[in-house]
Amino acid sequence: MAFRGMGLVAGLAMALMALPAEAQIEIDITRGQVEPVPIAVTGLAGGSGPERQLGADIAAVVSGDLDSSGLFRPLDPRSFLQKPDQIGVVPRFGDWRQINAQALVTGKLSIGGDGFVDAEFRLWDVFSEQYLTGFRLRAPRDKWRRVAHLMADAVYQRITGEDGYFDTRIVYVAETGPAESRIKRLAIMDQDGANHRFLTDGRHLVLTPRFSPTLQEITYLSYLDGRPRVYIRNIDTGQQEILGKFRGNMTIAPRFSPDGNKVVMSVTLDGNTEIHELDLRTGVQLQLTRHPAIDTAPSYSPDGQRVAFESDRSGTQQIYVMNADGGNAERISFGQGRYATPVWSPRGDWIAFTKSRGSTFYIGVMRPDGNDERLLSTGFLVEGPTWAPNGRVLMFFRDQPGGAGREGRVRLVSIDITGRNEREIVTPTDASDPAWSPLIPRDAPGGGPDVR
Amino acid sequence: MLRALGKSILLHLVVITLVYVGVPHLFEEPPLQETVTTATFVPIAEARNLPDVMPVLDEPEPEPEPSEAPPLVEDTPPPPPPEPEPEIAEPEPAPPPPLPEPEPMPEVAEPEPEPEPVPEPVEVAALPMEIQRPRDKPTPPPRLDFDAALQSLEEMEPAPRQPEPEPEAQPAAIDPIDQLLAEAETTYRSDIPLSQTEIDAIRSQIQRNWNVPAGARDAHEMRVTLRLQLRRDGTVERVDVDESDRARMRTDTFYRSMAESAVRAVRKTGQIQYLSPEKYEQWRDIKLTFDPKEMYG
Repeated sequence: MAFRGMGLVAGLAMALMALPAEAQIEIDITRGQVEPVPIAVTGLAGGSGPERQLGADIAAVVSGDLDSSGLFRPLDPRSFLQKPDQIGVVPRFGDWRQINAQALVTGKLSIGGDGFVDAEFRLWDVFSEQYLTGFRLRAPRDKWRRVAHLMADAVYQRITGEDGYFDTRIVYVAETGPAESRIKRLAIMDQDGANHRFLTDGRHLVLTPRFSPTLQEITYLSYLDGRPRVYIRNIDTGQQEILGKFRGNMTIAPRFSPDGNKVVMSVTLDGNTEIHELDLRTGVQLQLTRHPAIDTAPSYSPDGQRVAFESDRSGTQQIYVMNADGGNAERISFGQGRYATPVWSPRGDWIAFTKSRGSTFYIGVMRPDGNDERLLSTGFLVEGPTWAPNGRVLMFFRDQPGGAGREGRVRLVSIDITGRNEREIVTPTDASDPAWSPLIPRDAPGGGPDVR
Repeated sequence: MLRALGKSILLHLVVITLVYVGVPHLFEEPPLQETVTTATFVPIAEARNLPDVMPVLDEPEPEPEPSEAPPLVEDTPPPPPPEPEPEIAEPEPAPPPPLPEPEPMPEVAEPEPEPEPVPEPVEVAALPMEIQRPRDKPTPPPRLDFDAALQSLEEMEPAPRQPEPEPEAQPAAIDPIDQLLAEAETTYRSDIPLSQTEIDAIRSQIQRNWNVPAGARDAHEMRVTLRLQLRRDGTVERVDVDESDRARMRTDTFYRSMAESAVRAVRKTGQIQYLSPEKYEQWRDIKLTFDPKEMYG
């Protein structure tokens, strides 16, 4: 009897344990790798030798763009099992999994008798075996680099979810000569350094160039008439003129509004520097700050509603944000050291700045309310941050002084907003004050003023 | 009768024991309190319920795998997998690679006889313009916490690296002794739920293949849930973004990238290893939630 009872209990216990477990298990994946996506970029297939050559050249530029972003790792074409001309409509995904490509770019092109290139490109997800995006494009043959940049942008956009930035240009100050008589010229180039040319001859000092949203114009500081003045210049025609009719000894630190209709800058009058806004259509000038301190380096938020600037009204240089009409200025930087040159991200989520503490400079970002400050790069002198149009990459310049048998050098450097992938941009001369253009409009005359 | 006898024997035993042990000191104060610890002994292997084949798996081990592991690591030349390779996408109405009819693109720039802009006479060709592959010069960056999605020089400056915040709530990796114990005549039970170790093993295989899109706007607020169906051999039968997350995928390209990266991680994993076949019913359907928040701490 007792035995029977015990048997019952034991049986019950076993039955309980044997109950089917939860119908479905749930697993949280909370960590992953932060690694570049392995991608295979095949040369665009072509029927003739020149076509295949051009196809390979385009693929090389696409690979270079993607590689420079730090988010992709283009695979060595020699490892490809399937050659470009073997790829029919749909690639053999197994071949690409074998070499661990996660994404695959294929395409073809033909060169017409009219000097035009018809290019076609497709992006595939190798592991999901899916077509992701693609386009056909007709372009003058000599614009082939733009074709490549557009392809790279499409890949970047589709895989990362954010807009690309490869079809862009950089304007900067090219520096030559000894420190005592430094020659500074405006120069412009594609984002990858190609198609480089100088815009000014170096007779007059130039500083802080900035692109207009249309890319047609730049505004910058020049000593053309002996005093520092803000100019506007048409990139194509080379025409330039002084901006505004401000009383005062100098105008500095210009920047376009996001819609391109206004320029903000600092005006110094009788030793006091204030921020002013100039409406380019009407010529109306508006003073935004009124404070005995130095207020300068204004930068609009992407919606044009607010302006970040630097001021020493607290005793040291700090970053402030105010309404676009000048009201409600609030300090947002509170870390140790001095903060300068705020630049609002085109994405709106960060403000980049230059910070100095002791004898060290930093490039960093913080939220528009001053939170989440992160320092991305440092050096003896790093300065002048500018955003890629997608708000994902920063460029600035680094000045490494000479000494001890080493020559000083000033170079442009780019870095990802995550703090990874710092790279030096190759320029023919020393380079400072970079400004990153917006994406080149597809329908810009001639495909952008200068890509030829 | 039997019972009475039993009771009697038991009682006798108790009394004798009491007398024998207690008599000299029975009424003295006990020596000052010793701590009593109650312990329940359970065979380790049973609690963990490791299948016999359970290998030593350690989370962040970028190291060479146990040899039979599939080529998960990036650059290793893929050893010819014995399985009938990738029939991964064969079954269902898996989207047949849609024949892409690429949208005809707005043509780039007809070569309008652009007014050749005449920039001021500048020494355009003055400098060597050989700028083919210019950006390929990564300056050696000071690299920090590789786990963190976002990096800042801040912490690494004055403060020496924090003591690795490595093993958190994660159950510790199996140590050799544990493993020996586990391998010893464990009676492995397939009818109890997946153990934490088994779940961790699944997790680590997928995490290793998840390439997190870092730096995207609001990346820390992107949770993606996938429904995963496995075959008996652990290969992925199908993987879908959970219904509840699909709407956001259609409107938010960042989110779509995040979701696709999760799907890619599963696809790349291809086959989950070390699953015990007896528990198939338990792991054939898995709900995976990808949440990179920790990486943005």
